[in-house]
Amino acid sequence: MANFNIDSVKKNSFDAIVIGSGIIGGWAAKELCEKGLKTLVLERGRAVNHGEYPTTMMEPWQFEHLGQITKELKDANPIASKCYAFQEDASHFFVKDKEHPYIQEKPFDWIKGYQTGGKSLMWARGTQRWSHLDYEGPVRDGFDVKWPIGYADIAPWYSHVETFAGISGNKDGLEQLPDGEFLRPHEQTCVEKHFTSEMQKHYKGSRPVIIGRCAHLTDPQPIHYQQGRTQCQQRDLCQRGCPYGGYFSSNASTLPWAKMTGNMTMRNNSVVHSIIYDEKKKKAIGVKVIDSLTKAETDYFAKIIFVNGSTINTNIILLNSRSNRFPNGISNDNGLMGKYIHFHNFETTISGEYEGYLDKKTAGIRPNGSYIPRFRNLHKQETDFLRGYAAGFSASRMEKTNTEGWGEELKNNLFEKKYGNWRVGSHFMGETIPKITNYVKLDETQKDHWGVPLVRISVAMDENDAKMAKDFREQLTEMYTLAGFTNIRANARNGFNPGLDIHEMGGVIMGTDPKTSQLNEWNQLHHCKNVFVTDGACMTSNSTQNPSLTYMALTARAANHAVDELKRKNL
Amino acid sequence: MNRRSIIKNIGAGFVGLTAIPAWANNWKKEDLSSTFSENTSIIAHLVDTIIPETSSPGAKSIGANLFVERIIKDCFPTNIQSNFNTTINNLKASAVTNFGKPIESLNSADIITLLKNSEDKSSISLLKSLTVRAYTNSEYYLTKHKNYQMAPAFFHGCVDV
Repeated sequence: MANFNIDSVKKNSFDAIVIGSGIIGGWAAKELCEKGLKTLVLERGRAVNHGEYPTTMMEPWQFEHLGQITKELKDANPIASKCYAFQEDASHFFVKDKEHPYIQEKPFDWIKGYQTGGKSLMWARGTQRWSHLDYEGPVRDGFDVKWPIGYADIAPWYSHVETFAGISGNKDGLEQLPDGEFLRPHEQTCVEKHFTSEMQKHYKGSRPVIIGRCAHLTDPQPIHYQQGRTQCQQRDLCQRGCPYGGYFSSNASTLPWAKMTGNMTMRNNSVVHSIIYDEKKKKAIGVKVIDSLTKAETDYFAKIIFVNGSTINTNIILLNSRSNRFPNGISNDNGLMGKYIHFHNFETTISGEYEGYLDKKTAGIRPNGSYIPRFRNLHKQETDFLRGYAAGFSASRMEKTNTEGWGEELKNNLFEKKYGNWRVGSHFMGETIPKITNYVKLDETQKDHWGVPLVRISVAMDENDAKMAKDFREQLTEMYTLAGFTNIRANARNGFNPGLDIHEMGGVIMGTDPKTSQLNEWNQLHHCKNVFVTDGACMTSNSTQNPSLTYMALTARAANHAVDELKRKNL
Repeated sequence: MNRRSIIKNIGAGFVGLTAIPAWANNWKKEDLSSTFSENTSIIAHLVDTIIPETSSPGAKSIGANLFVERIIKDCFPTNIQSNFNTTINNLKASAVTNFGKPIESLNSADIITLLKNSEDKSSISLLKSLTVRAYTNSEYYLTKHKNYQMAPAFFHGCVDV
């Protein structure tokens, strides 16, 4: 029996364990496997190998409901169906509401993707670097917790991940949005260019409008072909999964790369229950896994553990990792783990029309739009709210479908070739202030299907968020008016709750002081240094950029540090 | 066109769906015959009137009637479903009252008169908008009229109309 146990420990032992195979787990796996570590990747969802995208080649007319989800599916998923991508072509990649229940102390739309690749299959692919202004924000504006790193620490790692993932963008030379290693940018439309030049004229360069930066292979390099990916075909059907690997996903990029090293073991249907802490060794020695299908329990062992389960799940796993030494969750000596959950405020959009350039249109498809980097409170406080917002912006011109009349008259109308005015739209991406009062915690009694406590989520918007959204509406109205746009309408996103941004962050935040934070400058738990947290849970603040690129850079940086520390025998 | 060949035509649109994994079950092909109701032939007649067959295919030959029935059954709440069915029955009755004939025997002009004069404005407008949606998303319309390409592999932000 003793021998059997030793054998089973040996069989289940690895150099590293990565919890989660999504956009961040994929990066941890790639970096660790490349450096020669035998790595176990634990994914709670089913296997989706690159190319196994069942709807990806379907034509619009091949969908039974032309893309719309059924009433049955919508009614069964009041939360998941709020996500814009939960449609007939991609709803199979989203976790259904009943599959993973949670308790909303305040309304929170938790959008989840449990499969190989996680939400990297359906993400919106915006990838902008943070600038020094973003990392310094918490100090300047007196947040509770400050970043332990600055732009100079992370800049080379942005380059590292951009080069591999493939980021399309233009070198705009902006202090607030540093340039990266860019592939050919997409083109702005005539009216987007018009908006850019009008804003340049009126605001003297203080409100740049640029082409979006996104994880698309506009101009693939040898490193991308080596991953088995090829040029983006500009279908804009990304949420279905891309057989060309035209956009970055774990499935198309980091996971196949990790697999090619021969060092990766992938285990699907593996719900991580908790991390196992050894009180004698004073470190984590492995994880307890529940098979999601059989409910069988297995322990896996490793020298280092990367927790990349997505923000809320990472919090759940760590809080549920209880021991004599850590009764409130692993390394949670200050009791602050789970607190400081933050997000991006997406509650407003603003639309309008432009009656110029009526002799012009666009051709082809662009899986991207223009982008307005943060311009509020950039160098000093100048409004009655803290921080600021970025915004998406796009201007397009569609053929009008004239549906007047009946019979042959209607049919002739449908075959008319006529264009309407250009339509413009912008969506708000507001920074929120991390607060101790916005938290997740584990329920004392209720458990999920796998014996893990249900999470209670208590996250709300505040007065700063409301003032900022109002300012966005006012400023964009002014900017649209200056550009000559008409029919300007600010639209509240009805039913927007925190979470629907799918940018939830925090709970296990980086900081300089173990009294107020959970992670050090290398994403190690302060009191259990061989556990690394590099997904959204680690974020000290959220700034205004789409967050994934920063998580990727933090992950690559932390993984390489982990390998160095292992070599130095410090872990 | 008889029902069997309609099923065959619509079925042709689903080529390639046989290899789907079991977990992708929310849009798997159902038995299309379950879509049909007692008003199937009338709905086919109505969509064919709304967008008629001319030198180009009409709404019926691209299968819009099947889409209308399926989407109302699968995607709309029961009160809208029952309003829709009531409207179809009211149209049947009005055909007899106003023209002394069953609706299936009316010509296009008479049916258009019925549709325009119906008091069930919301159901009629739903019927029309779904017919238009099916038609404008059909392979015929998108490829022959819209120059639809799934993978254009280019984008130009400013070209002449």
